[in-house]
Amino acid sequence: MRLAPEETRPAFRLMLALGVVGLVILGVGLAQFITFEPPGQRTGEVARIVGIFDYDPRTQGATGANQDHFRTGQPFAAVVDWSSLPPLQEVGSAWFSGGFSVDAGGVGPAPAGALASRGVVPVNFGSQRFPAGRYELVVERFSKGRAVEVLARKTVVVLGG
Amino acid sequence: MIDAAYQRPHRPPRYRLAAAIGGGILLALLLGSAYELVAFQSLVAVLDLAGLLLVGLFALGTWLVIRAVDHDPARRGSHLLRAAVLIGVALALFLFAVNLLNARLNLAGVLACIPTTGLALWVIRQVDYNEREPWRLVLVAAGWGAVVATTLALVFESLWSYIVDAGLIPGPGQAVATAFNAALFEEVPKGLAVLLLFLVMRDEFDDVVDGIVYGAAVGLGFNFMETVVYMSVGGWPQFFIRQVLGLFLGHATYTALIGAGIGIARQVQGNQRKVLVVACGFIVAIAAHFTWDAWLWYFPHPSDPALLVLSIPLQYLAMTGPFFLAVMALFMLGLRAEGRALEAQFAAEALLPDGGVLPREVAMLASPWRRIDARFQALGRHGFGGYRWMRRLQRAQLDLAMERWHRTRREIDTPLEAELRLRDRVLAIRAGVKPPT
Repeated sequence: MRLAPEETRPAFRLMLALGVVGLVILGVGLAQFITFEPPGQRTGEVARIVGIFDYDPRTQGATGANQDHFRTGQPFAAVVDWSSLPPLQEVGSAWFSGGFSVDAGGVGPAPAGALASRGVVPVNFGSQRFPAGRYELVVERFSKGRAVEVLARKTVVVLGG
Repeated sequence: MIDAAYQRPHRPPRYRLAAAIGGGILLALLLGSAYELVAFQSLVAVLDLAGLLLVGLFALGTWLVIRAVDHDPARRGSHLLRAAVLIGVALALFLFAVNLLNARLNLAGVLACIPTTGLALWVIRQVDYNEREPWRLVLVAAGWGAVVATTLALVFESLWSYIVDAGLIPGPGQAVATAFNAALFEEVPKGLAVLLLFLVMRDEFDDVVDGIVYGAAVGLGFNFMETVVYMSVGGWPQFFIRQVLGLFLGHATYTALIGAGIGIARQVQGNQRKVLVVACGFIVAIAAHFTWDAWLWYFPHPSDPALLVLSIPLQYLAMTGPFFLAVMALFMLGLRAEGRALEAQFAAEALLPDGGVLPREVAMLASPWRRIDARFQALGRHGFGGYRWMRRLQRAQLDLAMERWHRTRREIDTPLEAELRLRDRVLAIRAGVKPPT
């Protein structure tokens, strides 16, 4: 008995076409990932983050005890020990806010040796009150002006109210 | 005859009193926990209720297994099936409790999402007008989406975050990885439900149309639980976004694409083509979900509420709209192929001397509108009983035609007796006698 593949052929072809579209979309995503996360960049270096402290904008210094949560009106800053890295290594440190990594201030990129006097890295959100949410400090290694490796990271939570 | 001092010496009356006290304690615990849960949203109450239900269901399931093996082996199959259903319900309840804890016991969210999700399930079942899928399977699919797929997604997305995301540079690369994480670990667990239905319930899985229905049901179940979780953080705006704007345009669309692939595989000849089309369904579903999450990197939601009201519908239209249209196109193609095939099978059946379809019924059965018209005519002539009789007859005739279609295409692994039984059922309904089982 002859089968009737033509009954399913249009749906089959449409699904193959959709599969190709899917592959293209995922391929573009993979290309973007490789561009911003280039392979073969691991050095094994680890930076030391001393802690996250209250920040005094007047003296531009860190005070008090190491904390993992703050309030929206409470400025805070990370203290990074740049001496834990090779002095000529191009590095920087940046704060990111929220799930989509909004830039919230930082220092660098510059050779680690040149950042010795800039160990205090305050959150800078353009105002005294920071939006509530999760904040992440990331110490990065740079190559040709672009971050290529994470050397350390630390997260704090800013509570509302 | 001398009466014994104790009629049933192994069960003296004091045991009844002990059982009554035990039952009373259990009832008090259940009622107290239920009140605590409703009034105070107590975590302990959830654990109490879920634990007691679980123990009860597992005990009942075990008892049925013992009956099947030891006490009543003649009905082994039926006891084992019931035991499996009870234990399955127990596991589903356990996972539901886990998800509810993850949603901070958002009972209001659960109650709010039941009508919208229920309505959506009813709609997707209705549009499959030739042969509607049984409610029990549609609900099993939605249940899997709500409790099994969400739990699997939670576990594997967390693992990905700890293992992969933790080493990535904040920025576009990490955003892509996060989008891929959600797409992969939500679509695969959802798709597995459709795949299992395809493997186990082949009789109720006919073609691309059924695949889309089951896939959408799984997606709606997932969307239900995800809404409850998001509402526990974002409140009622999340209800509007996920249960109104995104009810059909989110998870339902993605998993419907997986279902479509599996449904097409049901009717495609050759294992390679089957695997290929199933893979295409998974790939396009993962890609569709990926675009939704990746969009947020390029176009983050604005903080201005007025702009937010515009941006979210725009995101649905731009990112999920094209995939929704693709699902609709696949659904229409499936319905058209199904309609043509059924019409041919009705005509062939009508040629048989003792067939289940009369020649004058062919045109009526081939058209959904005429089928409805025939039911209402039966309603007018014989009341509600006539309507129900006509509906049963039409469903039996559709089942028969569907079976014939699959047999013609050699897509069936049931013996020919199945078709004969379906024909007998039609004839029995027509004759007004109890159909053979």
